[in-house]
Amino acid sequence: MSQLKVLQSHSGCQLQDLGRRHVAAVGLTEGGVADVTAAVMANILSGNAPTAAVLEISLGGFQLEALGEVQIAVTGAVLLLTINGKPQARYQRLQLSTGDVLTLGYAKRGLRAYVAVRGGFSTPLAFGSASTVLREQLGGVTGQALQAGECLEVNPSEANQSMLDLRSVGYQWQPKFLSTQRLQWVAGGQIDQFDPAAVAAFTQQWYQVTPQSDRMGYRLRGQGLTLPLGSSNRLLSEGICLGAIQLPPDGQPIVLLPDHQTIGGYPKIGALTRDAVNILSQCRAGTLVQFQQITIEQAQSQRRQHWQWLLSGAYLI
Amino acid sequence: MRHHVGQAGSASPIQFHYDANDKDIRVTVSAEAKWQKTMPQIRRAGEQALFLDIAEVPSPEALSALLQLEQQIRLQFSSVLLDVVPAYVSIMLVYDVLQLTEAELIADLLPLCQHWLAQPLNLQNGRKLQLPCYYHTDIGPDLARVAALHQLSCDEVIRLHQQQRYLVYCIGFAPGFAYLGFVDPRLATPRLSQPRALVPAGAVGIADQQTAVYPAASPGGWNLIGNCPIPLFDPAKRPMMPFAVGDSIEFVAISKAEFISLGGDISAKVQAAR
Repeated sequence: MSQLKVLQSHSGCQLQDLGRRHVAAVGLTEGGVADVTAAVMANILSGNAPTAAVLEISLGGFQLEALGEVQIAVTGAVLLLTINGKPQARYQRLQLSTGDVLTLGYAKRGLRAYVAVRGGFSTPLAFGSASTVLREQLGGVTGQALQAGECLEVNPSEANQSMLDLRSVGYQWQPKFLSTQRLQWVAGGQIDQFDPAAVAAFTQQWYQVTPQSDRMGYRLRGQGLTLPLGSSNRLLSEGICLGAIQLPPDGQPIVLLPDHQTIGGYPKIGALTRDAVNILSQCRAGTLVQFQQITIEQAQSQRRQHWQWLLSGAYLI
Repeated sequence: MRHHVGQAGSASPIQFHYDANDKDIRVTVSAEAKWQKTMPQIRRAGEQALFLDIAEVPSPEALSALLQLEQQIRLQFSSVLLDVVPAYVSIMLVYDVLQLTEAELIADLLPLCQHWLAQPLNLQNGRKLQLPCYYHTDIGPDLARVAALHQLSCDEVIRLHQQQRYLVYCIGFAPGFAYLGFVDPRLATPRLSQPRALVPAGAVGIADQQTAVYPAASPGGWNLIGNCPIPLFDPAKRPMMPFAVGDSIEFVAISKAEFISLGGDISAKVQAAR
């Protein structure tokens, strides 16, 4: 069995898949990759099922050594990728032989890179998922981030002849990581308690990603949105869904990401679409975002189409 | 914001209001008609999640009805549900959008809700559990202060805390952290103005009208009156927690020796806020 040995790592380097199900009732979060598009592309490039676990490298600064022949692909954030010091292409299937050292430099645009290996990782699952949630000490190899010296077992796989010619993702399908982004969202939560004119104004404004943003949630700064005077800001705690747009008393929005708490008591106006979460999770502090409301029909239809497109590999060349 | 709600097992029903500075519910007693089921309100959470709102304010009847509905939903929709989060008076469903749309899910939920509406309430449908608690000022650093605040003796606080059955209204914030409601109004005490940096695992606390057991060491702002030696969350066990939303808990005082023999850590100490 081939292995990947971690040489250099940090707390932002974690094994992730598409998250945990049926655990919220005990207070465990769903977790999972922050950018599904990048993670699935890395898997499809590697010849894996879309749901295979990948290495999520936030900010960059990660190094591993191949022990055995492996094929890998790195997607997501723009960073310097090298094998034994020689620059390599992201969004391409690459071959590593025993002793080859893969290095991911620091992210220059975007925030999170994804490393998939053909065959996937054979780490044991915690509640059906390999996803790492540090505060719960679940997932990964030992419930922690990837540790230097750790060896990750790679499942054996057969060479897939039909795959061999399609090794890259066309440039037009690779993310551009703009400094301004529009985030699609659907209305929900306690939106009826907000003044419609105030919500309309909210969607015209630009909000800045603050440094107080992580896998639990992104804190945004801008003009703010509050309930009408005389409303209570507190409501009974209820479930929090991925992408929920929460408005605490100070009016500065918090968008919940995969490691969100399972319940909360601040008012919400709805939630980002999954794809908007993918986009937001790659936004660095300082990025300006604008909320663009769409209907639930549009959101769900887009989501289905996007998923089918990701699985199709239509973007491979 | 005041809401009147129906009977809660006693002759005098419960009135709630929300403290603007606190997440918890303050409970006082007033007079009202019996709570009845109404058609749940369905409200969107997001692209793949919905809420069902069962009642305006929490009560044992509403919680029992919520549990009944949750069980039926889990059974009927098991093939499309990704998660279910019951809390106080709502159930959030996370569903697989690749299998069905929001409109389809709502259409399928309506007959289930109508069926549920017609069913009588079953107040016995949660499990009843007992949790041992070692009550002592050594291990519950706020016990004397809570007593003094309410002009009670420590023994009276301990008696009042044990004398009722608490319902599990919500589980969250941390794995295994269950919000239990509601304590005798004579015990209701606001949270510490500054949470402690460290509260030991098993700590039994009161915050306003709710009580809880910290499943693991963590920061915490609840008023600590004792410690429960039974582990309340173990990811290696099935089930991971001994109770779920809708179950009820009774605390039973144990001695220091019993506490130690049940695995309690007698030396566990809190750390004040820095």
